[in-house]
Amino acid sequence: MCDFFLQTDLKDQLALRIKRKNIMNDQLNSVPKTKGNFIFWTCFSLLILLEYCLFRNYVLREIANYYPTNFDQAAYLPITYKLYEDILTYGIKPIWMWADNLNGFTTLLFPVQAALSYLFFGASRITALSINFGFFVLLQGFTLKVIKDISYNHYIAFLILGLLLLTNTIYGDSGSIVDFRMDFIALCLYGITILCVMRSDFFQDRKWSLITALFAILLCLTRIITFFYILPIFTAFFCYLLIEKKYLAKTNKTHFINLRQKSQNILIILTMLLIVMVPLLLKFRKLFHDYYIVGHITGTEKIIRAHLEEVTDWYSNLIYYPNSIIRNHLGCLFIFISIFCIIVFFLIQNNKQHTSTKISKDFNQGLLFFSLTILIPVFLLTIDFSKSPIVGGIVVTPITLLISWLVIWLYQKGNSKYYKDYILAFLCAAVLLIGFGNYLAHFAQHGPLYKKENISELTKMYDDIGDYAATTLKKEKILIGYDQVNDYLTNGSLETLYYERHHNFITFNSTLGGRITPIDKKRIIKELSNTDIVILNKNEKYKNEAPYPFNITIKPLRHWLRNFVEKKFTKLNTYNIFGENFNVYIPPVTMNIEGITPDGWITNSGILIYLHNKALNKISKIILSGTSPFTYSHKLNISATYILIDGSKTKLYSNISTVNGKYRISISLPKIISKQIYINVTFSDFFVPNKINASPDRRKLVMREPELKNIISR
Amino acid sequence: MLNLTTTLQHKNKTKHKKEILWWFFIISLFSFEYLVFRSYVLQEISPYYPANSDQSSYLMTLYPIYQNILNPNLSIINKAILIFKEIFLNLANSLFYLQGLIAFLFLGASRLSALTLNFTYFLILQLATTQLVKKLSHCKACGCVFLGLLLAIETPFFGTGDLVDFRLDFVTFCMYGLLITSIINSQIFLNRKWSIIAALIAIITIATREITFVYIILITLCLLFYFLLYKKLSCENEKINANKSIRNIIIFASVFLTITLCILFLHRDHIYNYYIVGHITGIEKNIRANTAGITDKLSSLTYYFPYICKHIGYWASMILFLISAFILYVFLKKNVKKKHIPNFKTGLFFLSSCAIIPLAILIMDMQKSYVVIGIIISPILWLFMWFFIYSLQKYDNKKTKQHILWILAIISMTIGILHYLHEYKQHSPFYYEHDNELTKMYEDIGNYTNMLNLRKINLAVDQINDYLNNGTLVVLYYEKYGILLDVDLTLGNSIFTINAKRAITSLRNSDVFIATLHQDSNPNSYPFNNDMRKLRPLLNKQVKKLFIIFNVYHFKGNTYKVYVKKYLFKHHGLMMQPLQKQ
Repeated sequence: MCDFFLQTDLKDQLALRIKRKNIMNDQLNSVPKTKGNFIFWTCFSLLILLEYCLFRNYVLREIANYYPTNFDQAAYLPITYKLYEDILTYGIKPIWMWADNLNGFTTLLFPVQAALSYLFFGASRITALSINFGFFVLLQGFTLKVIKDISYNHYIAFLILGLLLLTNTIYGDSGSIVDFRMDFIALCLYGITILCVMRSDFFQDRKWSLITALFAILLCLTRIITFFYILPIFTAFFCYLLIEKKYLAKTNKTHFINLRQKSQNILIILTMLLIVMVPLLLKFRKLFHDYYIVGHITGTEKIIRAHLEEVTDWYSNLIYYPNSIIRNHLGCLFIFISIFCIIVFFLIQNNKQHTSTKISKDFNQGLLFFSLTILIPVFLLTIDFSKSPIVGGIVVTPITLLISWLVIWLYQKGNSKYYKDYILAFLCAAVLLIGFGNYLAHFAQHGPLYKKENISELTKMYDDIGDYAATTLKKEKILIGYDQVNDYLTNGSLETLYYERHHNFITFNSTLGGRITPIDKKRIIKELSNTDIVILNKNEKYKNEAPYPFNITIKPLRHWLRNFVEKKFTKLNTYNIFGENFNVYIPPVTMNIEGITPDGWITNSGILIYLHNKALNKISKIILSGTSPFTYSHKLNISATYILIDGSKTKLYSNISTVNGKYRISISLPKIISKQIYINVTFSDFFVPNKINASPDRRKLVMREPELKNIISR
Repeated sequence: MLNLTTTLQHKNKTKHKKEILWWFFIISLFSFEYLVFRSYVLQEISPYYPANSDQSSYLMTLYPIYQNILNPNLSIINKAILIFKEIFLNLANSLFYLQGLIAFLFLGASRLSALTLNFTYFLILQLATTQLVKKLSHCKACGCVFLGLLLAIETPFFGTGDLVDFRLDFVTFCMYGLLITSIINSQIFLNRKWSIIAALIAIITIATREITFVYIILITLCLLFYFLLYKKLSCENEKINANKSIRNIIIFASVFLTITLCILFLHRDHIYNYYIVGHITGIEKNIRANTAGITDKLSSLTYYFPYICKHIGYWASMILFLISAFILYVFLKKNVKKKHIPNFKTGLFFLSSCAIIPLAILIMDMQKSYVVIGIIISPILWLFMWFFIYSLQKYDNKKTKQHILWILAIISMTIGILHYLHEYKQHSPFYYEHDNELTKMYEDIGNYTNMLNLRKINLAVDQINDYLNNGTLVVLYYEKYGILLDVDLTLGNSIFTINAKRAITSLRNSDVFIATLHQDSNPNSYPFNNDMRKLRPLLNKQVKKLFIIFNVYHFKGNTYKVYVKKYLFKHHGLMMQPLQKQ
């Protein structure tokens, strides 16, 4: 008896599948297939080509030359560069090492895919950001294919693509396509997973269900927290299917079989997901506990973050994400055009001739599924007190797909009339044009960093610090401290910029200013005791200061901090960045240069370098560099003699090179037992400004005072 | 029945495979062309100054517009208004600028992006002509012959107005070729759809280079008269076709006239000043004619013919010789079928008028330039191909025909590709003339003035040539540093004569002066250059009084001294001056 039922079931299933295939083939054949498809995909390829040109141009013009903004990418970029360098040195092993400890990051695949893409395209910001673009292309491609396959209409597919291009989240500053962090990739992969579910007729088709599972796993491995979105969504939908099977589909056998097939497929997906994710979560339970439980639930950081986002009571907490999604991620243009499209489709549909299509059967399930994909992430984010304006972007694709679902439903509900296709073609062209226009408008303009005052000085400061660290400190890890928390004063920015410009990876760790939590004198002293380099605001006051507890608590201590640092450290240089003057301090080796005129000139009398240090014997070389704008009548030579406290003199090996208006003096030192020495430096040539009609000045000048003074250790 | 279906299916499959192979070949060839072009531009063109005067002025106009467009404070509507105002209202040949701007928006503001525009047009021309020849002759080999010819001619590598020169001439050459191709594709105005497409191409051609309006309108009128005459003389059947053609010509003319007349009306002042005053009523035409070596009517009449030969070049002539030999063989052969091929005579008339009308207009213009004649190369090549296709249709022996065609195609493609490679796998003239020193000179001037925060730089030069001007400074500095300098040319901005008083006043108003050690001694040079040679001692005194030497540079076999104003020097202190000690 049981076998008999099973056989009937199988037959029914087979018949159903054949019927479905025939319907699909019939409907697909109605479109002039090969030529239509060729034009369709050619249009898409052209669109992508134009998008890439604009994206690449924007990144090279507005992003790649500057520091990585918004904190997170300054943390991810150095990790990927380091991984890439390790791969070049040790082969594939560092990837497994990364997978083994994750280095405190809640992602497995994100840095790995970046490091692998560097192998193909070179380690640079454009390559890193091209990964975002690659996933965005994938999302667009899937959107086009799935919507076309479901609606049997090319125009609707392009219309939804146009809508996708209208969303704000692609273009914003943080979490956008030009921000190297997990959020944008997660947005794309989340969208692709939902599209696969759509294409599988909500888990009906086995092949597409397996593809769904693959993308869901990829998403969870790229951003592990999304596992807690996917799991409840799929489980809730599975529960719904079970309820429907038990109570609603009793009378309709075909529907019952469908539901059983769907339940089976969803179970397979969940099993695959759990097999991959549970061991991972168990292995890194401490990491997740520290990051999510302590950081987001039990710790104090969540309160700071909530305060920064002005979330003070339950109401502001409740409306934070809906508000953020509407304002920051969707935007007015998207909402307006979506509503307009739905109205147009509503008007052109004809209710009288209602035809039962595939989509009308799955409509309710689709509606429920899309609602789950939107509401569950929003709910989980809302109960988390630590707010971020970026993470809400993940629901942008499900919202777009929900609109597409309504549009397709309305389109298929009515009868197909000739004029309807004309309206549709016009609407599609208009939306696509506006969408692409929006993309063009965003990428054909200067980025937020372009107009920032003296941004090149920041690059110069990081270059000088990197050079100093590479030539003088030569330590495995260099500790750096700041008197403010902001996105341009981070160890990540320094590592990233220096690596991108010099392809030399130096590891910097932050001590002071590495966390947003409050600070006091005792902790400052403790943190500075290990610090190699300190960056302080010369004026002890910032024009724009983020209200982090660190910034608030350090404010009254800045004067004391500056005095403290100046006693213990030597100033390397001063830089004017974004209208602020920054002093960079390096380890306490005292080097004073005497004999420089008050207006900053070295005269033909030469200079006297005074060195004082507990470990002078470790110094091998002194390098002085600066501007020497004149070419001299003879080759400029220098001579350096080293004078001890008792007056004895020894000649030192020294040389000077002048290239393109810049000079570099190098003086080699023998091993010195004394704690302090004087070095006398004299020059072979000079010029008198008055004689060359430059100014009335009659002094015998040699060059400007050195801008950089480096001491190189043995 | 089944066998027939199988055979048909097999035939279709083979045809499909052949089509795929053909497209694979075309795409591979184009990719190869692009890679060679790109590497040549990056190595041999971008690091140096934009030669031949015109391109520096186009680039100097476009870069500021591009910078304005990037302003994030402007809304998209304001940007559209800005484009309309800056390009359509203020600039003649506005479509050329608009295309350049679009290229910058998508590919970034650089010389490569600007020149990619030329390359894109050249690819479109190659694709369109090859496809049409293939369609007319029903043979891919014939398409290859034309493709090889296009690669073998000298126009894309002429030195001026070529593929690596950002100016109107090359784009016009391609657009004119495309217009001819589209009209031939319309079976000389028999097909309405293609006639409208041809009208759109005509609009683009005229909006890109407005003078082509005269050529196109005259050609259209000639064709209209031809068809009217044809209608009168021909039989009933042919009359129907002639009527169709006349109707389509009227549609073609009304479409392109409606739009182009609006464009021309917008730019009427510029057209009057440039063409009427500059080329007809003014004295500039005489100066230009003098520099071009035109002294009498005979030299004026024969001026363009040697350049036509130069544009076609040695290698393309060889291919054309082979084609002509085949045509001659077919025509002289006794047992060829006397086939009536429709449209042959009409095509011949059309192509001849396409070549003769622009040539006649250019000859009539006193102001000669060997660059502009490149426009008639497309109709000349088409004339040869027209005869070739005609003779192919007459030639009956299919097998021999195929053999001959493929041999010709292989020879033509080999010559074309080798010629293309030869032209781009060698150093440009800039390399041999040490023009990197020139780049350095402009960079130094730019750095110096930028360091002094000079809002506007007044530059003076003592000689007019394509590299001593404000455009070169602006373009080179922007391409290297992304900073737009505002440079005005106070001395050396006009080719006309100059007196001592004006020269001294201009010199006084300038911040930077570039002096040439050995001045142009050619008596046929511009009047300004001749005058400056005489004024040299007087200017030297002024220079000593007002300026101080900044640096000395050697390039193009000459020595150039750059002077900067003394007050700038004193005001900003000594440390900033990269001074060469005297």
